[in-house]
This record gives sequence, C-alpha cells and structure tokens, in this order.
Amino acid sequence: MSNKLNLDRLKTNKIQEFEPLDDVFFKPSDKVWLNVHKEIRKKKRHRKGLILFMLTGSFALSLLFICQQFQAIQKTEYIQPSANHLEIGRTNQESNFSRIHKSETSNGNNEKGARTESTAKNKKEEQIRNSNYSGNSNSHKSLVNDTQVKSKDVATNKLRDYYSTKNQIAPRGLMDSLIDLKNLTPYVIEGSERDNWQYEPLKKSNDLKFRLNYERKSIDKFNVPKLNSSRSKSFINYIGLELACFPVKYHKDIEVSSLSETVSSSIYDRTFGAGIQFEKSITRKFALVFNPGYRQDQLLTKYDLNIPYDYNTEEKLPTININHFTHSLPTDFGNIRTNMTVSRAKNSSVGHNELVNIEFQARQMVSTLSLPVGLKYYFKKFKSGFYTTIFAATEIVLSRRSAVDKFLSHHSLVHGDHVEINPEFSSYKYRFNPGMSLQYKYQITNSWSTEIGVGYARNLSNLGRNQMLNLGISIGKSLR
Amino acid sequence: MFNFLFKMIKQKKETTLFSKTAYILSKALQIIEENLILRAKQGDDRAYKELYDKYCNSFFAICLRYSSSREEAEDMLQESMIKIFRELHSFDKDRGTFYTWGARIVINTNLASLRKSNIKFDAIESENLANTLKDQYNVLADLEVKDVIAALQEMPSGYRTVFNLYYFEGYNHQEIAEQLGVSESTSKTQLMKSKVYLKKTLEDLELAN
Repeated sequence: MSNKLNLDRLKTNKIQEFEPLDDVFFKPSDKVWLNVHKEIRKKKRHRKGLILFMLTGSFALSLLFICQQFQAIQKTEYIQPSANHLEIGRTNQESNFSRIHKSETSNGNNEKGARTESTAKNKKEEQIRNSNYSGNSNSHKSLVNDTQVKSKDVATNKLRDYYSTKNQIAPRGLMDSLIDLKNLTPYVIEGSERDNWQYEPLKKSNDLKFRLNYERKSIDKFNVPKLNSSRSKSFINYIGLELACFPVKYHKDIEVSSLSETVSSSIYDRTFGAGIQFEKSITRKFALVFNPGYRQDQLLTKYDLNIPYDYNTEEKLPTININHFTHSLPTDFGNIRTNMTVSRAKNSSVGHNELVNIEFQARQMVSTLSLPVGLKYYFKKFKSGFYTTIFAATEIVLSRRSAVDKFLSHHSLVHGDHVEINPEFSSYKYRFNPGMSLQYKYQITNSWSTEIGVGYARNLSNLGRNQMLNLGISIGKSLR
Repeated sequence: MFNFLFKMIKQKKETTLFSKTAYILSKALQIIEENLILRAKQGDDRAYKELYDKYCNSFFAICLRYSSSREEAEDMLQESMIKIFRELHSFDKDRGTFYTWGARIVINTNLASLRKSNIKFDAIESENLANTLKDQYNVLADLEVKDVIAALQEMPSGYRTVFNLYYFEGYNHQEIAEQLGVSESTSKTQLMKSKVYLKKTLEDLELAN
C-alpha cells in the first residue's frame, strides 16, 4: 500500500490495509511487552496459587479429620488391652490369694471345714470361673511356676510393682477399696511343698469369694465408663444427612467478547443438592462444621445467531439443499463448539450470503463437589433452637455435559435440521463461595435431631452462579 | 501439514500457478497462526511473545490514532494486549481473523478509556465552516500516514474520536452517536470541525517543512 493517503482513500480503505507499519514510528517501546508479560504471568501465578491454596486447604482439612478419627479409634483400642491387663492382673492376684490362702491353711490358721461347706451354687460359679481361666489348670500352674520367686524380698517387690501398675490404670481410692493386700505377706512356694501343692484357686472361703466378686464387679464398672469415654472424646459431635434446594433461577450475564454478541440469555435453573454434615463443638455455643456436598447445576444458554447462508458450500440433495456451519459459542463454563446442519427447500427465496436467523438453546449439566467449612454459633443451646453459620466453600467442577435443547430457524423455507455440540476445553474448574446461613434445630429424640434453614452464598469467581440462595433440611445424630 | 497442502492443491480450482501458490501460502500462514493462537491459549509464553511481535505495530498504530501522545498510546496498547491475551479463549477463527478480533478489542479499549476521561466536544462554531470545508481537499490531497497520525494527536479528544470512528472504522453518524452517547448532529459537527482542525494543522506542518 502506498504511504500516501487522502481522506477519501482513508474512508474507503479497510483497516487491514493500514498496515505498512514497519517504521520505527509505529514500534512501541520494549517496556510495553515487559508490562504485558508481567501481567500475564501474574494472572497465571495468581490462578495457580488460588487453586493450590484451595487444594491444600481441602487436603489439610481431610487429613486433620482422618487423623482425629484415627486417634479416637486408637484410644478405644488402647483401653481394651488395659482391661485385659486388669484381667491378667486379677488372675495373678487370685493366684496370689491362693498362695496366701495356702500359706494360711498350711499354718493351720484357717480351717479346712470352710472349704467343704461350699454350696452347689458356688461350685457352679467355680466351674464357670475354671473354664474362664485359660482353659485348664496347667496354664495356671505354669504361670505360678514362671512367676515363682526364690526369696521373700523379690516377691514383695513384685507385688509392689503389680500394685503400682494397677494404680496407674485405676484410681487409687477405688483399687484400695476393692481389696487391701498391701499388708499381706507373700508366701514363697519352695521345694517339695511346690510339688505337692494343688492349685485350687476357686475353693476359697466365702469371704474371699465375696471379695473377688466385688472386685470383679468393680472392675467391670471401672471398665465400662472408660470405654464410653473414648466415644465422648470422638472428634465429631454430630453427623447428619443434608438436602438443599436452590429454588431461584439465576440469570447470569456472560462477559462476551465484542465479536461474540450472540448470547440472548443465560440462566441457571432450579436445582437440588445433597451432602453430609459433620460438626465439632469448640465451646458451649460455637462449633466447627464441614458439609461436603454434591450438586448438579443446569445452565441454559440461548443464542440468537445470524448465519450468512452460503450457496458454495451447499450439498445438493433431491428435494433440499443442506449446509453445515460451525461455531464456537460462549457459555458461562467456557465455549461450546457447534456443528449445525441447516437445510433449505429448493424453491426457497434465500439468497447467497443472506443472513438466516436461528434461535439456538444449549443445556449444560455441571456436577459440582462443594467442600464448605464453617463456624456455627448457637443462640441458645446446642440441642435445639436457632443458630447461624458463617462458611467458606471451595467448589470443584467434577464434570460438564452439554445437550441441545432447541434449534429453531425463523426463516420459513430454511430449517434447522440437526446440531451437535461439544464442550471446548475450559480451564475454570474451581470456585470459592463465602456465605452465611440461619437455621433452626429441633430435637426429635435424645440423640436425633432435624434442622431446617436458609443459606446465602456469594461466588467470588466468575464461574457459575454468582449468588446462591438455598433452603436446606437435614437430619442427624448427636455422637456426644 | 504437507498432506493438507497437497489436498488443497488438488481441491483448488484456480488454474494459474501464481494463484495456487498464493492460496497455498496464505493457507499455510493461516495454519501457522492458528497453531500459534492455540499454543497461546494453552499458556505458552513464547506464543504470547510471537503474537505480540506480529501484531504490536498494527495495534499500536490504532492506539496512536486515538491518543494524544505516544506515552498514552503505549498505555492503551498495554491494556489492550492484556485484554486480548486474557480473552484469547473466546477467539473463534471461524468468525474472523485474529487481527480483526484484536483490532476490535483495541478500539473498544481506547473508546472505553476516552469515555472514562470524558471526551470534550467543543461547542459549534458554524461561521465560516462551510467556506473552510470547500477547499479542504486541496490541502489534504497528499498526506503521509505519519503526518495524519501526528495531526490527529494534536486534535482535541472529541474531534479525534469522531474522526477515527468515521474515517478509519467506517461507522456512520448514527452509530457514532450511539457509541459515544451523543446526538447525531454533535457527531456531524465534530467531524466537520476535526477536518478544519486537521487542515490547519497540516498547513502549519507544510509551512514548517
């Protein structure tokens, strides 16, 4: 193009012709590119950082949750062996009793008649007890043989160790009240006496049996609350199932580029969601909540297309001529590619390059996983009444499916026959929604309760509904 | 790509070797550019740079026309290029070339900036206007692009915007009025005055030379 222009030529020339711009005059300074590049990198870094932050946050929360659960399980498992330990301790204690008893009888301080006066009931109890003690008396004998000591001092030390261990597990007062053996002197079985000794731990005086039964019951009482306490220390205080309804259609204004001004409307339809609710109380009125949930959004996007009908690309069939058109149309979740087939009657009056108006509607189903974490405040008390929650939800777009809803030509002799659409690649996959809700909790039974409430969230990213109003209902069980 | 070129040679109906070669070259360039845009869409920094290098001069020329100084034009170019790269995912090659799409964004960015800074539309001075316009073409017969742009930069923003929209972008007065939120008559008078102003500027320039 000539560098000489006048106003008339300027008016007739197209923009593209105004391009002989290799002159230094039209060269911008290098700092422009540096600034542009910096901005692009900043945006990329920002997006990466946000995604990383959300993923890390979700992962950390999940990890914390799993760890706490694992700890709670470990606590329960820890108490069980200690209960077994008590059982073993009790067995040892009883063997000590038998030995002591033996020593007493061998010294002639205790009468033999007491043994023979045992009732049938007692015998039955003894049989049951015998069966409980490791199957047979051999094991007990071996236990006695293994644990026998050669001197009084060693035996005394062992007994003390045993009590010190037992006192660590059980409250001192309780164990002291069970049975007082501290002042008893252990008897050491030695030599021929040991060979002749028959282990009869269950043939004791009524007094001893009473004491053993009392101890057993007390130990049982002591064990039961211990096991329950592990449950009360569980990380979660409440678990529930939640259903949410999004009753309002949301009209979304899509930012379209200047060459894509074809979107006539974009609407998010009413929808439902479901999730699980976990709650952990912090103080009497505050609690932490975590409600992972699933939602499927339906996005309807309407387009008003003006397609220049092209004779050159027509396929001529016996009665009609068909034409194929391809578009990349913007939606809130990224572009969709359309492959349209438009037909015209042979006698149609459509001219070459004449604009044919076509109304087109696409429906997209977007599955979303929501991971809200919030702080709950009870106005009155935990069990029932009103409460409010402030939350921040990270939402991850799991899938996006699209379908054609309507394809209508407004030209009498041109028909929209067929259209296929496919979602194009979209980098938007995460959203961040802070919000709050007001709910009412009603106690059904001592542990079961139901909640109903309304929530509002604001989307901080451009993707999806910008505002979300939802009605929710849930039912759950208190794990306190 | 070579397969595609062979296919194109077979399909093309033109007989002359020159037209075939020109067509194939243009298609090849188009494919290269499409590939470049695709890479840029995927976040390739080198592709961004190549696109920038290819189009920065053309876009800068547009910015120069709408701005009163080179610095202002550079700011506008920077803003426009950032917008172009951010909106790259919405570019559709089937609906136009990258240049037309990008130029549209550059023009819109410039107009938005002018709207923000309140374009000043001078009051109408109708006396002698008609007489002045009679001989404008004698003066503006031969202009260099650079001279036109330099003269445009001298103009008040209202003149310059209307002049650009009318002569370079090809809008009519009704469309200009809609875009700038002014009446049609304002657009007409601004254009007339811009011509007078341009004439005077170029006369001075010629005298200076």
